[in-house]
Amino acid sequence: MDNVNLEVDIAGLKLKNPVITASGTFGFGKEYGEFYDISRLGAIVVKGLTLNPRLGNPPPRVAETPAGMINSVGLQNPGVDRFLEDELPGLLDKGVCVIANINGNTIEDYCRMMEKLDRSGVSAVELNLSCPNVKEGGMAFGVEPEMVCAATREVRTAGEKPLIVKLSPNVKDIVEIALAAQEGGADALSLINTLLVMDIDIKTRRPTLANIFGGLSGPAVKPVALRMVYQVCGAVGIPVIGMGGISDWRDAVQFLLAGARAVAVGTANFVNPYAPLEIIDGIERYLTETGFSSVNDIIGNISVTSGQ
Amino acid sequence: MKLVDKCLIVENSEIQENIFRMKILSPQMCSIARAGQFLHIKCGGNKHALLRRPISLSYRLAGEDTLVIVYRVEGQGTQFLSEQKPGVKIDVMGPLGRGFAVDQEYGRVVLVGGGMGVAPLAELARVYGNKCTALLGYRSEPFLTREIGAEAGKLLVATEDGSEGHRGFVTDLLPRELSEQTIDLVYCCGPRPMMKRVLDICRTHGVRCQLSLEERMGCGIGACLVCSCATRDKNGNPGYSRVCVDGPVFWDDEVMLDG
Ligand SMILES: Cc1cc2nc3c(=O)[nH]c(=O)nc-3n(C[C@H](O)[C@H](O)[C@H](O)COP(=O)(O)OP(=O)(O)OC[C@H]3O[C@@H](n4cnc5c(N)ncnc54)[C@H](O)[C@@H]3O)c2cc1C
Ligand SMILES: Cc1cc2nc3c(=O)[nH]c(=O)nc-3n(C[C@H](O)[C@H](O)[C@H](O)COP(=O)(O)O)c2cc1C
Ligand code: FES
Repeated sequence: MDNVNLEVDIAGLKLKNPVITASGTFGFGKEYGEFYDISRLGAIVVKGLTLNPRLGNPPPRVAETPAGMINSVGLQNPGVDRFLEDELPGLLDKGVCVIANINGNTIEDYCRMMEKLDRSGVSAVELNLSCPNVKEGGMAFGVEPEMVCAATREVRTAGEKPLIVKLSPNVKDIVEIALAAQEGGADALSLINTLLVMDIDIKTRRPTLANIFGGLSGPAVKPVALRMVYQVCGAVGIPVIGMGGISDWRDAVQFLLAGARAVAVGTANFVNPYAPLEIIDGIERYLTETGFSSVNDIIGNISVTSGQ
Repeated sequence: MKLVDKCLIVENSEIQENIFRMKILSPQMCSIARAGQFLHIKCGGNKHALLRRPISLSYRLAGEDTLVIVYRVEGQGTQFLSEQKPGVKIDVMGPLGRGFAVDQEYGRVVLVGGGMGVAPLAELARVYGNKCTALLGYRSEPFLTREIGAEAGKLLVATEDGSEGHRGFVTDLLPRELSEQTIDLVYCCGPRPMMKRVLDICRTHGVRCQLSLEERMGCGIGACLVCSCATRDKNGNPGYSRVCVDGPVFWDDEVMLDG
């Protein structure tokens, strides 16, 4: 086992293994830190941050669907300043590689956050252009290629840290959006965010969520995510972080084979707090058993032999 | 300390139509679990009932290292639980959340439970014994009255259909308990309308009250923010708290049952 190399490089960011936790599903790491040493993870992406503190949407904020869940948290967070003061130092002390996920209503908001984070100990910044459950934000930036390109370009110039652009699946053509982010100067891409959906309570005849709409995540979205990651990896030249419904190492290996340089684990944490660790171990075992010496050997390593 | 463990089911029996009592073996959880805390239980595999289900600790059997839960079959998750046989192991995370504030200095406390809200009060009855009065309300047939009655100093039952005890709501019984003697604290769990009524009565009588709230959950440990409920902070400002870690038990001045 010792000679299997799990290290990956995402736009100059060296991760000890390709397993990351997805934004919004891992808080600021404290909670899961009670279960295991979170510095064992490749990186963690913290809860989506905004420039100012945000209360989030009214409850109920969650519904369960077959093999999935719908959330409408609405970016509840303490704001970027409080994160830098209260949360980040503890994470860095533990030796965790931290990626900040930023969300804004205007390009200026994004840029101001990028400036603040650029002077901090975070390893990279993930630009969330896609959060589908905030009425004023997200949506508008993530769906139009021109906007994606423009926003990425502005934020790119606001700081030096590696910039990961997170893509929404709620778009006409994900490849077009991915190319726009690349053109704007993204160092890497991550996908997918949640799918915009709804649920109705037939007893009350009301939408289950107070926000009416929410974002679908969990195993139900995996085939959609896998398809999108595969298509994007085939079209762009920058690294891709794949996510959406990954619940075990087999799912993770699928995303790596589809071309993702790293994977993020979200909803699975709720079911099994140890899921990310089990996925790291599972990937290592898979590499050993299949005779590969490095995880990089399986990234994008599928043969597509059909005539298409 | 929070644990995730595969725990042996020692017993799982239907104590009334659609209501089950399950005994779960876990020496570790049993030794640290407190009244009002809950267990987050995997009910089926990843792919079907995806999320864990929060179920309150009803009471502990310390001598047997077991935790007892009492649950009603509502949907697929609790249906799955009801089908598990003794000898099988289930995946339990716990004990979670802020339980009831227990103070052995209290002279007299009242427990008010409605429906499934009776379940988490059983451990309190065990803790306070003679010092507590339990008021338990049901639509029809009572459950857990034997267990709670064996511990509590006094037990009064109300049923909406009059099949046992007082005919009507359990809240009908509360004002008298609060006026007859000095009560240090009221502990309450049940449907929202009932808890609102209990809160009103306690305020009228100037008695403090703790309430156990319910909200749908994801992680159960404070990381995902889906279980928010409206609360007031120390300065009275409205905001949200996480039922899974800031609760499920809240103080009377924290909750906003209308919002
Ligand atoms: C802190 C806490 C303690 C609880 N203690 C008990 C108890 O001791 N005994 C008992 O019978 N019930 C208890 N409940 C309610 C119990 O969690 C639900 O009845 C159960 O989750 C229903 O799951 P299901 O799959 O059968 O129903 P479904 O309707 O299929 O569930 C769908 C989804 O909604 C969630 N959900 C549905 N109803 C509730 C509810 N009332 N509260 C929270 N989530 C819900 C489920 O967890 C699941 O994610 C408690 C709830 C909370 C929050
Ligand atoms: C409760 C919850 C909150 C989320 N919050 C954010 C967020 O703040 N920012 C973000 O970019 N994505 C957020 N996401 C999306 C996840 O990071 C991830 O992209 C998505 O859930 C798909 O992965 P999964 O199926 O493994 O959960 C959230 C997802 C969930 C379930
Ligand atoms: S259930 Fe995740 S924060 Fe409460």
